[in-house]
Amino acid sequence: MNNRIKELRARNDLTQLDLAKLVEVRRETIVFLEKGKYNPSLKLAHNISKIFHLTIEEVFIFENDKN
Amino acid sequence: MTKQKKTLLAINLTIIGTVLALIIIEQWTGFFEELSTLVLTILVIITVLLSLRSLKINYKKKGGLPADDELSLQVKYKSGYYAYFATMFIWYVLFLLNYKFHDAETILGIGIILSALTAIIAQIIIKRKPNE
Repeated sequence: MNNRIKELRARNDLTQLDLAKLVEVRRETIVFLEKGKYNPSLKLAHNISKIFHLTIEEVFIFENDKN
Repeated sequence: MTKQKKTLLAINLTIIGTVLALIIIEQWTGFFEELSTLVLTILVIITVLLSLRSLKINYKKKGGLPADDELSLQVKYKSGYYAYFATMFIWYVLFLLNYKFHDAETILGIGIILSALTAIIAQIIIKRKPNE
């Protein structure tokens, strides 16, 4: 699963720390998410999407959806 | 400081106190003279590192970030699971090789150190690829 967190974060002028505080996770989790090393829970995916005013599908891209 | 963190800190301080007391007992009475001082020193270092980590966690929480989140908990649970099984095999091997050690205390000391190392290594490995 890929995601657009880094791009959206830059667009919204948010640091990793800001986003971590907003969704109440550690900054390390945001780093792992951006690197695609960690698949978030539905709750975290929902919270992150809500910060960017987008749907989960717009932020997180599943491999099968690429085709 | 939350109640949970206070408890964690109290446990760590108790462990430090116990280990230091064991060292003092060993030095004064020679009760544990067979147990290598090196093993005790390593145990003290591990305990101090864990205590410092606990304090760091509290510091982080004050900075507006949670001490634990879903990723850190997932890493802890997974690494705990793997470390548990690895540790069982370590104890099994230690008891098989018990004739190579001088006494039971040395086996216990080595077992505790290897268990702690296994937990740390498992955590590092799981942290690298938490999804797998």
